[in-house]
Amino acid sequence: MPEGLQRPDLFLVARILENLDRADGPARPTNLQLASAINYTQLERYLEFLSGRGLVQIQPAEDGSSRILITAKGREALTYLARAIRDTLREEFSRRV
Amino acid sequence: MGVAQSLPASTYDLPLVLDEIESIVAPLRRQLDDASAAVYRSAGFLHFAAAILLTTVNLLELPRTSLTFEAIGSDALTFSVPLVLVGLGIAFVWRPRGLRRFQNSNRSWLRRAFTRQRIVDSRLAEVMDELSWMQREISRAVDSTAVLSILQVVLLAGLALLSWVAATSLGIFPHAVTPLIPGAVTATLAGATAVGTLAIVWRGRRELRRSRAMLAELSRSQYRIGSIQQAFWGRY
Repeated sequence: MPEGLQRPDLFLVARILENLDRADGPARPTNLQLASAINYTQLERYLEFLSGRGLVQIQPAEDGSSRILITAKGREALTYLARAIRDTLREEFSRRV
Repeated sequence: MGVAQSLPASTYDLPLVLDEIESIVAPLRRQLDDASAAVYRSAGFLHFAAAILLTTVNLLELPRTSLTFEAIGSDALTFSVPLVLVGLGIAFVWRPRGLRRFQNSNRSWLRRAFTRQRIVDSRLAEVMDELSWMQREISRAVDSTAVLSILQVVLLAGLALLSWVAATSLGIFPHAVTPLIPGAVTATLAGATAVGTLAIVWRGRRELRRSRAMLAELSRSQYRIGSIQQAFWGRY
């Protein structure tokens, strides 16, 4: 696990995966950073972390930079996460006390 | 169509999730805020009412007094009681304002925490800390009101007894047409304060029970989110 990601922010992961899922094809890191509203260093850490778990794929681009793709496992993880968060919100948070 | 499009965005879109949490936490925070302030405010207004009642009775008695040393002394004593009551009332009413100022600063701190978009469970922990702090404030409001009011009841009962002894045995209030009135009024006030205190304490305790239920609810939510994290990282 990369340094500083002992306890990754689950919502950040969801946001990154969601933006990749919404993107039409491979995403530029800068675009992903802006869409996910996090700083570049943080994004790099998360991408390295997610790539290590097979949730995203980092491909080299012709211009020397890189492009990011969500994998099938990443989509499955996003679905799982979305359902878990939705269920929790519906069952717990939506109950007004 | 991607996963994101296949599910309603409102179910997990982050800003909406934060709004959702904020929309639940904000009324709870307001409720606790109002509860602690209401305990103090009720105590304050009870004192003001007692002071007005006592002053009215004293003023009704005043034209019948003579300008003797004893009469002026007894009037001073009689009028000092409402003054003490007004002082206590101001102390009770002023306190929630100080509390509100502190809570406002706390609220902006909480807003900043939300803006920084920390992970949900740690954010919930902060919210729970704040709710626990407010719970302690309500508890303190109830306790201090009860203790002060008990002391006051004892003081007023003592004054009632003193007035009665002075009026009947020592004849210190010769100017009063009805010498038992000062004692009777003070005794009535003691009784009213006791009843008022009981009502305030009962209300405070009820708010405390409600806030404990809210905290338990939030604890469960926090536990659920912790479970999601564990399950997610265990799986992926």
